Amino acid sequence: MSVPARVLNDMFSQKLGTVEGREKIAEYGGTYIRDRLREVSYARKIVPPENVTRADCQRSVNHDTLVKIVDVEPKSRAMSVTFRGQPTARFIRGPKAEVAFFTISSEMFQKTEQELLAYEMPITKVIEDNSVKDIQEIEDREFTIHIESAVQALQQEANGGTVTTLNRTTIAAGTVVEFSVRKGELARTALTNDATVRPVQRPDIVNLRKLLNGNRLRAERLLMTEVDWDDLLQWTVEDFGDRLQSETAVDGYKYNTLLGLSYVRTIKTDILRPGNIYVFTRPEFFGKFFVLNNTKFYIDKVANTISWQAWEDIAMSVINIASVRKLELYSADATSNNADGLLASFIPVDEDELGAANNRVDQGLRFPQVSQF
Amino acid sequence: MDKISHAKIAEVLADAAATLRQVTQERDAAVEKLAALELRTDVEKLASSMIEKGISDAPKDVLIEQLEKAAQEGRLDRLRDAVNLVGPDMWSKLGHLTDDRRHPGGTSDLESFLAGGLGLARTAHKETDHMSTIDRINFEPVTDVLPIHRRDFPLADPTLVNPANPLGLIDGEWMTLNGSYQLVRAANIAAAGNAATVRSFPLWAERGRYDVQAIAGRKTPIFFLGVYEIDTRIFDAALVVGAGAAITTVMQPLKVASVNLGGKIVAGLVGHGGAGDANPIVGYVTRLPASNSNKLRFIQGWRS
Repeated sequence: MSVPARVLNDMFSQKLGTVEGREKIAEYGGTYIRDRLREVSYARKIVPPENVTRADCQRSVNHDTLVKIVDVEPKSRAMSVTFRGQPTARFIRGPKAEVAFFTISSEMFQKTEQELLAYEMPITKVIEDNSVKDIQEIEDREFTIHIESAVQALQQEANGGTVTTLNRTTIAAGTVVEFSVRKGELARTALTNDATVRPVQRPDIVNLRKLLNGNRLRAERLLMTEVDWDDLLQWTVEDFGDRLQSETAVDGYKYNTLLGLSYVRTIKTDILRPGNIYVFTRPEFFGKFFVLNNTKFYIDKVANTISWQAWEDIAMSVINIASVRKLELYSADATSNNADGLLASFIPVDEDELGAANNRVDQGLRFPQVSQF
Repeated sequence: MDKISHAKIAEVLADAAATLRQVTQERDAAVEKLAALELRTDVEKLASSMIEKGISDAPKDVLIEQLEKAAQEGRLDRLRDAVNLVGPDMWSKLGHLTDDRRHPGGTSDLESFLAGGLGLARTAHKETDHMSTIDRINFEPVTDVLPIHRRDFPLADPTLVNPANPLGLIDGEWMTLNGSYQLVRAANIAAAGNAATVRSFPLWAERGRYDVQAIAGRKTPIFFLGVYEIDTRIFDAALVVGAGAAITTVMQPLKVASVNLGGKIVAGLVGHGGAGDANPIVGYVTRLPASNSNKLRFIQGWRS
């Protein structure tokens, strides 16, 4: 039985009038949000989150925040020796990395009880959708910035410790090493250094795999936008073979792997910008994602004003920066040099700009335009 | 596949029960011994702690025996909690005298003497009694923080949250916003004595906080909007900047300028000069450092 949205809003307001009601709404809201987050964050599909408790974390004597210290595999090797010889010694030491916790919170939503009456959209639905969307986006934005920092750090190291411009011009001149970032085949042959995203080619994926596979790591998973994914459908019979080409022409690409790699697609093109494709190893070679407190939900009603907020406490870190590589399908520079002045087109937009509405209703752009009086 | 004869199976079945019983007995005995060993270790630690803290002057073996009896009666955990609450020598010493005066730059008199400067350091110190020192915690609200809008902004220079950076930010420094909606220091710290000329906000994050370092863009919290009263160490009461004045009286207005605290220049509070001073006011003194453990207490209050 479905309850009309207006009735839901009324019941919501009534329930908020009691302590028990507020607790129940907070409890139900919290449960729902947590389940949805696992579905929608692409970061969680690449590095599965692990729940940790306070007991797993380390404090600081200087302030009241927490880290979890993660051990990294120590170096070791074997050697050939004669019957009389002996091996060299290694006083072992395993590197350790701190993974720091922080909070991601939704906005503090507020509305008066009276103004709620002006909505037929169920307010509970707004709570669920807005909170989930906001938190998932920030998780993915943080993740995307971290993986970009990782590939750029390795790229800088491979170029003698200097941030070296990587665009069509420097590739043609041979003045840059493509170690952890590689330009796509069509971007390399572009006429200018621009932000135009070229369609991904089959050799692009193969070459991206090689960036990892050539370093005693194994590529396992791709991350790309839906926009770039759509370009796969342009692959020809030479790429797909006639059977796949026939299938793709009817159903699109329906398989779970592409050239042996599983993949994660995202529609969040304001965070993962089109033209950027990352490849990852399995999570145990890559990094950590800890959840200290799953999504919590707060709701309160003071006089006639209802306030609600959701938040979670997490930590994420790319610990082995060599376990992620990047393919760029545009010809312009995306390093911090910003040699072509187009960097803003390739990196996640600011937090403040996330979640921009697609509709233009508030601008009066709807058709037919009907005015009430 | 090798076949097992019925005779062998019967033999195994006959022996199995006896063997299992024997293994179980051995396991139970081992568990009992382990528990006894753990108890003995716990009791010995507790006895040592009691003697160390001066709670008991009984011989250690006697004390251990008493504690083992207490453990059998299930009182060991309560005793341990009680011992943990007691500080060292709490019973024998009523107090102790110490010179807890801080030395700017971490230089003690002994270090100064060894460096050939005995007397100079103390003299210098006396001259700067009105100057604060940077501590682990430098900015403590004394009013409710809930009504304050504590807003996180990314830093224009993310390296400033690195606790190893000599130019790194200290809690209680004063920040302002740049054109990119990012935080920058409100005063130029190239030298002491540069006044802030724009609206500024106090930073509420101790040096090296993990949560600040964890976030891309190094977002850092400030007290953005609202009224509050704060104890701060980030001030120089004697420094007179521009048309300002030394901090000498309660309710004196305050402004922001770069100040030198033990060799580190930060954006902190100095005295405002009143009507003749064109720099903005950020707060008013409510308690002078001399009567507030060398911390300046002030209330927020903006006037350009």
